[in-house]
Amino acid sequence: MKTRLSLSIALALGLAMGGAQADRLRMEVLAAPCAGCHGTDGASAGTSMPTIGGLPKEYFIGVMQKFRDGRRVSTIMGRIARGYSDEEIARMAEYFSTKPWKPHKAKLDPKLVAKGKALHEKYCANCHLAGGRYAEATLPRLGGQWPDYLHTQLVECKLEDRPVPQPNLMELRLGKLSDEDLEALAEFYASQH
Amino acid sequence: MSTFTRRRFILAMGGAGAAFGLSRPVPAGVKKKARVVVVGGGYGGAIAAKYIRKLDPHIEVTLIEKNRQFVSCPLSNEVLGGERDIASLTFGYEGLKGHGVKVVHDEVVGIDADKHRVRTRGGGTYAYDRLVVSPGIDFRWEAIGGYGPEVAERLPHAWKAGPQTLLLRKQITALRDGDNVLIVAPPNPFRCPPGPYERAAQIAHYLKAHKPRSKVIILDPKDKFSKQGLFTAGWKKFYGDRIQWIGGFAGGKVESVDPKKMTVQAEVETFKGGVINVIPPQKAGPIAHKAGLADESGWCPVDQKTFESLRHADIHVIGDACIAGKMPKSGYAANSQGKVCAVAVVAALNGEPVPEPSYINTCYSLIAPSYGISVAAVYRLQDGRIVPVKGAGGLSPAEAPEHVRRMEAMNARSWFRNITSDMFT
Ligand SMILES: Cc1cc2nc3c(=O)[nH]c(=O)nc-3n(C[C@H](O)[C@H](O)[C@H](O)COP(=O)(O)OP(=O)(O)OC[C@H]3O[C@@H](n4cnc5c(N)ncnc54)[C@H](O)[C@@H]3O)c2cc1C
Ligand code: HEC
Ligand code: HEC
Repeated sequence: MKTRLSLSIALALGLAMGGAQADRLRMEVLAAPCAGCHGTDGASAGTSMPTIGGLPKEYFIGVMQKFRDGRRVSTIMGRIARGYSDEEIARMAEYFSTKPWKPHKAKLDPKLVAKGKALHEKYCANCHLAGGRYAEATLPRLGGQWPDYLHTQLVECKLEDRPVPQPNLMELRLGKLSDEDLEALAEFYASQH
Repeated sequence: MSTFTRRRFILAMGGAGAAFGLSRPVPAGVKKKARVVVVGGGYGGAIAAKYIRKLDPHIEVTLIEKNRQFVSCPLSNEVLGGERDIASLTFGYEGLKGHGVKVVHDEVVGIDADKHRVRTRGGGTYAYDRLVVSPGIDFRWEAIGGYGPEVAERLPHAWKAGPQTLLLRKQITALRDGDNVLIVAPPNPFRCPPGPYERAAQIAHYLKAHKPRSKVIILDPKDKFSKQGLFTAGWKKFYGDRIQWIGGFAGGKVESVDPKKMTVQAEVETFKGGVINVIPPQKAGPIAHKAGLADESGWCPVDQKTFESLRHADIHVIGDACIAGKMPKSGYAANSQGKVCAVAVVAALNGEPVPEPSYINTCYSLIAPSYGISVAAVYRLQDGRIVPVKGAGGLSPAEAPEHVRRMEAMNARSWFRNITSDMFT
C-alpha cells in the first residue's frame, strides 16, 4: 500500500515537472526523422540538401504548405510534406526555428564570390539584406546556405512550368542573369556566414 | 517465459506504472542514473545511442559494437561500379563519444533478460535498465544448396559492406570480357529492397566501359521488385539489353550453386557465370536469435510504438532485425526507428507518456552517376501497426526531365552525407 502511494505521488510529481520534457519529446519524435536528409537539428552536412535549422517560422510554414499543394516544385519534399497536417507543420516550424543556424563547410572560389557580390548588390540586395544573412517572416536566410542547394533552386526559379515561389521583382531580375551568374550568386551567399 | 509472467503481474497490479509502460518504476526521490546499453553501432544503434543522450544527458549510454570502424552498405554499390572508394564509406566512433556515449568494441554473446545484463566475448558484463538491440541481419546459408560462409569467399554476397564488397569488385574487374555476372536476388523480406537492382545498374555501368560483351543476369525468386518500372526504364536507357532480369514466374528461383563449375541451378535452367554474387535469404542478426528475441519468421516482433520486444520486457529491437509494419528494411528506416525508440526509452525512464510516433523512409538508387530515382514514405501508427500516410510518399515520376534525375543523383549523395553525419558527428 505504502509503495503504491509513493509511486503515484512520484508519477504525479514527475508529470507536473516533466511537462516541458514531455512536450520536448513530442516535438522531437515528429521533427527528428527529417534529420536523415537535413542533418541533426536541421544543420545540413551538404551539399544539395538545405540547412533548415534556424529558418524563420513563417517562411518554414509557407514553404511546407507550398510543397504540399504543388505551388513549389520539388524533387522529394512534395512527397514528404503531404504526410503532415497544418498543426504538425506549425510544430516543426517552432522546433526548427529555435535551432541555431549552422553555416556550411564548403570550399568556395573567391573569384566567383567577388562576382556574385557585385551581382547581389545590383539585383538582390534590396530584399536579401545584409548579404542574405538577414531573415524575417517570409524572407528566407541565404547567407551560409549550401551553394549547391542555392544553385539548383536558382536554376529551377528560371525554368518555365517548374513553379518556385518568388516575388515578381525577383523573377524579373533573375530573368536577366545567365547560369554562370547564378553560380556566382550561390557562391556569394554561401560565403556570408 | 518469465517475462510474460512478470508483464501479466504488472498488468494485474494495474496502477500508473503499467499505464505508462513503465515496467520498473523508479522510486521517488532516488534519482539513480539510469543505464541504457545499445548493441550494434550501425544505422539504427548509433542513432538510438546519440539521441538518448541528446534527449536526456542524465542517462548513461553504453554502445557495444564489435567493429572499430563502421562500413556503410548504402552507396557500396558505387564501389562495385568503380565510382567510389570504400574509405568514403568508413566511419569511426569518436563523434559518438563526443555526445557522452561510452563506446565499447566487443561482441555481445549473451543477453540475460531476467537479470538485465549482457555478456561480451571479451568477458565483460554490462547491466542495463533498458537494452536497445540493432544487430542487422544474418544469412540463411542453408537455403541455397552448396552455399555457405566458406563458399562466400568465392561467390561473395557483399550484403554486409567491407571485405566482401572489395572481393566482389576485384572479381568484376578481373572478369573476362564476354563472361556474365550473375546476381542471385533474395526473397522478401530482406535488407534494402531496391539494392540488388541498383547493384545490377552499377555493375552494368562498369561493364559498359570495360567489358562491353559481358552482361548482368539477375535470378530472382520474386515476381516483382521495388521501383521496378523506374529501374527497367533506367536500365534500358543506359545499358540497353545488358541487364537481364529473370523473375520467379520465369524460373528465377535458385536452388543451388556449384562454386567449382561456377554454375547456378535455377528452377528451369542452369546458368554459368564469370562472377556469381549470391545474396542469400535473410533473418535477424545472430544475437537476436540467441537471446530469444526472434519468432519463427526469423525476425523480431516488437510493439511498433516503442520498439519494445514482445518477447522480453525492457529490451527494444530496431533496424533490419525488427518487424516494423509496412516499413522496409533500410538505413533510413533504421535511423527513424532509432529516434522513435530513443524517445520511448527516455519517456519510460522518466515516467512520462510515450508520444504518438512518426516515421520517415526514403531510398535513393543510382542507376548511373548522374541519374537518381527515389521512393519515399511518411508513416504513422494505426491500430498498433506502422502504416504509410495516404496521399504522401511514392516514387519519383516515371517521366522527368534529365536535370531532375541529376538533382536526385546529387540528393542521393547528399542524403548519405547527412544520414552519416546524423550517426557519427
Ligand atoms: C548494397 C546495399 C545498399 C544499401 N543501400 C541503402 C540505401 O541507399 N538507403 C538505405 O536507407 N538503406 C540501404 N541499405 C540498407 C541498410 O544498409 C540497412 O538497412 C541498415 O544498415 C540497417 O541498420 P541496422 O542498424 O539494422 O544494421 P547495421 O547498420 O548493419 O548495423 C548493425 C551493427 O551491429 C553490429 N553487431 C551485430 N551483432 C553484434 C553483436 N552481437 N555485438 C556487437 N555488435 C554487433 C554490426 O557489427 C553492425 O555494425 C543498403 C544495403 C545494402 C546491402
Ligand atoms: C529524402 C530527403 C528529405 C527528407 C526526408 C526531408 N527533406 Fe526537406 N528537402 C529535401 C530536398 C532535396 C529539398 C530541396 C527541395 C526538393 O528538391 O525536394 C528540401 C527542402 C526543404 C525545405 C526548404 C528549405 C528552404 O530553404 O526553402 C524545408 C523547409 C524542408 N525541406 C523541411 C523538411 C522537413 C520538415 C522534413 C521532415 C518532415 C524534411 N524536409 C524531410 C530533402 C528531404
Ligand atoms: C522583391 C524582393 C526580392 C528580390 C529583389 C529578390 N528576392 Fe529572392 N526571395 C525573396 C522572397 C520573399 C523569397 C521567399 C519566397 C517564398 O518562398 O515565398 C525569396 C527566395 C529566394 C531564394 C530561395 C531560398 C531558399 O531557401 O530556397 C533564393 C535562392 C533567392 N531568393 C535568391 C535571390 C537572388 C539571387 C536575387 C537577385 C537576383 C533575389 N533573390 C532577389 C525576395 C526577393
